[in-house]
Amino acid sequence: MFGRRAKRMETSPDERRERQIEQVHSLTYALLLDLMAWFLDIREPVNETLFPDYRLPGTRDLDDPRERLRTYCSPVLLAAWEPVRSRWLERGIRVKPDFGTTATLQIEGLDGMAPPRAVARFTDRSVVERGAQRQYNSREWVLTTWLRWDLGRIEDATFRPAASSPEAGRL
Amino acid sequence: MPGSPNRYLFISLLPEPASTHALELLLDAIEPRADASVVAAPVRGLDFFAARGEVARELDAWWERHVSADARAVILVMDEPGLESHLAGLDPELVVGLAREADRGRYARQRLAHAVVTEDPMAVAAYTIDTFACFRRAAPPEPDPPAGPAPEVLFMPRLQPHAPARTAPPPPPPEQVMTGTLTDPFTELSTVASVGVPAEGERRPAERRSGELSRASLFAGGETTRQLALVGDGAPRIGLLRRLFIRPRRMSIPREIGDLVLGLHPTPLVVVPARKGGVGKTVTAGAVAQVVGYALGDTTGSAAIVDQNIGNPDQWGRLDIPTSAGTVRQLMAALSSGLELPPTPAWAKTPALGVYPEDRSSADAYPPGLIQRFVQHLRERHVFLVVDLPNRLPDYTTAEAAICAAYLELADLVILPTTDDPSALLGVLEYLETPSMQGKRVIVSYIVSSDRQLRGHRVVQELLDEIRRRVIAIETVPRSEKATLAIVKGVSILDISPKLRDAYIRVTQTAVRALVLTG
Repeated sequence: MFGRRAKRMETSPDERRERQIEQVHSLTYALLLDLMAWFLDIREPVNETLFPDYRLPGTRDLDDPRERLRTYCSPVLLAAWEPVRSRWLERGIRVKPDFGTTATLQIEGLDGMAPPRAVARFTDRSVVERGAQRQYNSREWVLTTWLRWDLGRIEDATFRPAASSPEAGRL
Repeated sequence: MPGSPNRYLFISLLPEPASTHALELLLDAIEPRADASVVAAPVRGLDFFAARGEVARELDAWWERHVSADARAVILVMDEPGLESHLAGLDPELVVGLAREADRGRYARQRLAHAVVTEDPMAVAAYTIDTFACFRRAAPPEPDPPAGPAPEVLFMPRLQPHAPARTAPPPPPPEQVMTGTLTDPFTELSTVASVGVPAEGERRPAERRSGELSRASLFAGGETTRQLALVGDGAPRIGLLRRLFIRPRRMSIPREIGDLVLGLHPTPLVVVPARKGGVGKTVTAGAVAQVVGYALGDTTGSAAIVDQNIGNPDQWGRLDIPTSAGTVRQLMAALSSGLELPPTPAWAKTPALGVYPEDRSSADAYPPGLIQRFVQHLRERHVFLVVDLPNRLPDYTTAEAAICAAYLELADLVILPTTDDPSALLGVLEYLETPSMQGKRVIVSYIVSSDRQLRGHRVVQELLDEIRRRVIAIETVPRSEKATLAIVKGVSILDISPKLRDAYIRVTQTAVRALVLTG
């Protein structure tokens, strides 16, 4: 009896890896969604019905996307993005985000041999508008995130066009 | 400074006395070098948009006096019930104060609306100051922009339905990256270098071989993370995530359709009549309208589908219209008697598609003049109109035939549906011969039989060749039992079958191109 209980409470390596992947996945997804909401100045909780894959339960309920980002992103990183966002907002540009359906995510460092890093490649198919001007994007981007060793926080992240990214040919 | 590329005009529809204070606040905050001014409208709030008759004419005149064609007009207003229904096609930007966060969704369709959750008109003014570039900033002012290309033509503002087309207000000045294009957040973010990873992150490897990265799908749908986490050669994969910000079942419509529709002016009227029943007339009308509705998506433009198939009550249920929805007959009655108009049409599940069902209790015709007013009413509210007509040749002998004749008179494009039944094909030719069709642009939506012998039959081919000579295009639609299933299940034909959906997208694309090329 004891042995069976003890066995059930253990986490297998596969299960642990699965959880790690899910955590990185959740953070990457949340980062893209919250970053967009922050740039669009949308202040409302993440709708669970519309975005069932946003798996940060405590964070989901926060209205302010900046506050949501703060729960899982380095403050240094957010401080670096802050002026970029302000500058962009002042231009009065609107975006209808669409990131397609074919994004990929690669993760390394889950074995503890190196710091965890995730490389997401996605196609930005958003519609960008200002006044009557409308532009249809179709551009590949590579988002690289570096995570804290326990996968609890994104320490650093960069966006690069796929063509110019060193990760481009590897995805 | 007329013609200035940076001219702003802020129009207050805020209530008094707050409006006066808000305008003072705006005036004080305007950057001295900016070309910007403020004005209070003579009528405030919802009444400004909903005015009719003499008041509306006065307001149109006021608008023409105060808002020059090159100005970037910004309206400040507090939310009122129903305000959003008056904003379709509005050119000026709008800053609207909302009482509740939940109201924000009511303005989601308004591309040029800034929604601010506040009941304080002064907070609306403060938001305006924070948002627009003509107000003072702590940061140094941006340099003047280089001369841009010729301004684009915009739709007319609703307040000036008969005024000439306005030119688009020029974009705000600061454009440092990718001249001529609109920068997106990722382009901006790509200018930011890595901030570096703290102590424990210093072990970050400079480069890794691709085999060391675990490949996964970030937005793959259908399978669960648990199912996909460890599969195949052990490389973990992640699934489940679908498209960000996009509802999973949203269909893909060529962007060309929405773009071309938004460029059409005045609003085109597309009618779908037929000589005989059973050729997919109502399905065609509904599908084309839905495709355009999807294509317009979240833009301020919307399409409308109008049921004028009077006397045929069985066909119109598939768009899931609430029983309480106002009918065309009610709207016609209001237009002819000056009564208050029904506030809004029923909205289909399709984004940006207004549905105007018909009253089944009467099959009387409408006078042609009233139909003309009705179409004008719709043209002021939508950017694309589709009318489902009765199965009658156009003439003035019966109510249904008269409806056909009156709408054909106004139509910019006719879609004639047919099957490969020779009597249906002859019906198309018969329709093309009628006086009402002379000079009309026509495309044919042709439901092709699955029977090779039938569709390849000499008679069928000869009739098709004859039709082809007289119309702009013939677009084929596969015959499918799914079309019947859509009716039985009460769902849109676009949702029931990818083949049918693709076919009706092609029909719509051809229709829109025909409108553009011959417009």
